[in-house]
Amino acid sequence: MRRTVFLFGVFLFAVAVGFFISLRAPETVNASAIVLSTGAINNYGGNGDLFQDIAEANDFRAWYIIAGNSVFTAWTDGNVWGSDFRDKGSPNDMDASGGSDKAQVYYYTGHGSCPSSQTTTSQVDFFITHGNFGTPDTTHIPTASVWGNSGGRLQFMLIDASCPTELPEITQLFPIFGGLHMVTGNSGDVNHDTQDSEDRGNEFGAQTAGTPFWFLPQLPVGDAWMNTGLIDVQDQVCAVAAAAGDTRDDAINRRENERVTSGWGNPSNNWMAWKWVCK
Amino acid sequence: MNTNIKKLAFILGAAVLAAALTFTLLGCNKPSNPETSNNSGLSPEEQEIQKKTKQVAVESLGLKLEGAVDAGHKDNFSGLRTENITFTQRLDSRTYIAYDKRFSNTKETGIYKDADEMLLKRSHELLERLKIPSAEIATEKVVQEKTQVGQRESKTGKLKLDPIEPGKKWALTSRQIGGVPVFSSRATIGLVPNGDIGFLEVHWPEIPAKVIEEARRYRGLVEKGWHPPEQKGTRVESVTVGILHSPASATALDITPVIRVVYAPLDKHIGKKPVSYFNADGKPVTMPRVLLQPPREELKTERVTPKG
Repeated sequence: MRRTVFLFGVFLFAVAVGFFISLRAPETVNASAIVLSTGAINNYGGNGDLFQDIAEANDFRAWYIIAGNSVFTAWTDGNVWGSDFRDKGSPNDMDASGGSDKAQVYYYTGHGSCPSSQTTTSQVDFFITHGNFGTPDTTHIPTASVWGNSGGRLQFMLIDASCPTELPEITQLFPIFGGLHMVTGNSGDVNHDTQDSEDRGNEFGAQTAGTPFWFLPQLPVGDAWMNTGLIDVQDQVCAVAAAAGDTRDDAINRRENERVTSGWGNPSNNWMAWKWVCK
Repeated sequence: MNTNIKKLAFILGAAVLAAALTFTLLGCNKPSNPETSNNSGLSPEEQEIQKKTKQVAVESLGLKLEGAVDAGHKDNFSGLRTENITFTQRLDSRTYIAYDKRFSNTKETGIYKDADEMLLKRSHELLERLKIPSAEIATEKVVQEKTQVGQRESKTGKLKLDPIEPGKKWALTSRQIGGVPVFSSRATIGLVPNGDIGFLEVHWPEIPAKVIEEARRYRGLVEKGWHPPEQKGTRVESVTVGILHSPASATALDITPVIRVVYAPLDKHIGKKPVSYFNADGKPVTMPRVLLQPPREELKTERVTPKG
């Protein structure tokens, strides 16, 4: 009799466990949750201050949090350091307090640099920060940045800073892919530039994170940027998305189909496939 | 000992079996078709919302919902999903988002190759079906992606580039009302090769008459010489009166008239132009909200600098 009661108790307990497991809300279950960081700068010390970038990063991050992902760092203004984006030196992109190579997705919104024309051959792909540490504030991405290498985790470097993925310099981006999957940004020039915008980052965040319970679709990073990267930009500005790959097909497949939660392995940087669309 | 092991195995077996049975019966029995299982337990009002959402998807946009359809609504969104297609509409705005994931897989699906005029015609037709007033269309444009692939030899660093190839086309539509631009409204449409929707985002909320009136008043002030506030390190590049509202992906819908000032950094090589939105008094406007209840975050405000 005691044995029967005990077994019945075990059975009831197991049923209860099964019941609670079945009740998990779908939005709280995300087997492929990722870690992201944002860096947003409005305050350039009164020299070309921006107005929308912190709000833009907040919006971008919100969609990822809602979709069940977690935030590594979300620094703003002076707490975003130039060194966060550099591979060498100390501190660097592996800095535990906010290096860009510590998260899987990094969304940067702030100033970058723009050339006089889109046919330039001079160095143009710069981040421009206004840090309270980790100077210099300018970082030339093709020569100073490598992501996903030496224990780095970054898979998606998403840049909202006007021109740091300038098309004439695009082939110089091979070295930044040290395991990095994709980079997105804009190409333009001093007369055809991106504008400070909260909407651009919000929509890009919503489309890349996806929100199943609101039925907001999750797009591949490349497609999401092709249709949101032209929000609030001047004519002739281009949205650019580039992916590395082990092979030609692998690079193309990542450019067209990889989502932030795809969970694909790190590619080598033998091949790069890129696309762009201009307003 | 042997008997104890048998007992334990039996108990564990019973527990696993019971848990598995419960999970199978309750957890995996998710509704797959709104007309059959998903509507059960919904109020007549909720059923009506789902019915209307499906009508927009199928009848207005011509989405082909093949196989199992998952439908539902939460907050101001009502949507449905099949294996390939996701569609959502806002219940507080003329806002529609549709995506067919085959659109992205260009290797298998291919790209839409018809002339730009055909894409614009289809875009018009879709906007009309969504009851977007054609008089409010400000500009329409087709942009086309370009794609390229390159290989870098790791030893020599030598580059081999494939020729540039055409990619997807996107029809972009902007909005104005009586000459007043609505900065936040837009329609973006891309098609798959057979002309079906690959991606569609139409965000075209109704604008209250008083907002349009106020925007016109702002325009009058600007024409009479309203001066934008100066910003250090920049010059004023443009001043435009328009209407700003919450974005498509949002649970809020705030709408406000604004004077948009685009500044250009004096250092020409600093990219990204500062943009600020003012009211007629030259005060920054409260920006339209995105989420009524943003997720709570415990953000640090001070970053510790490394020692040494």
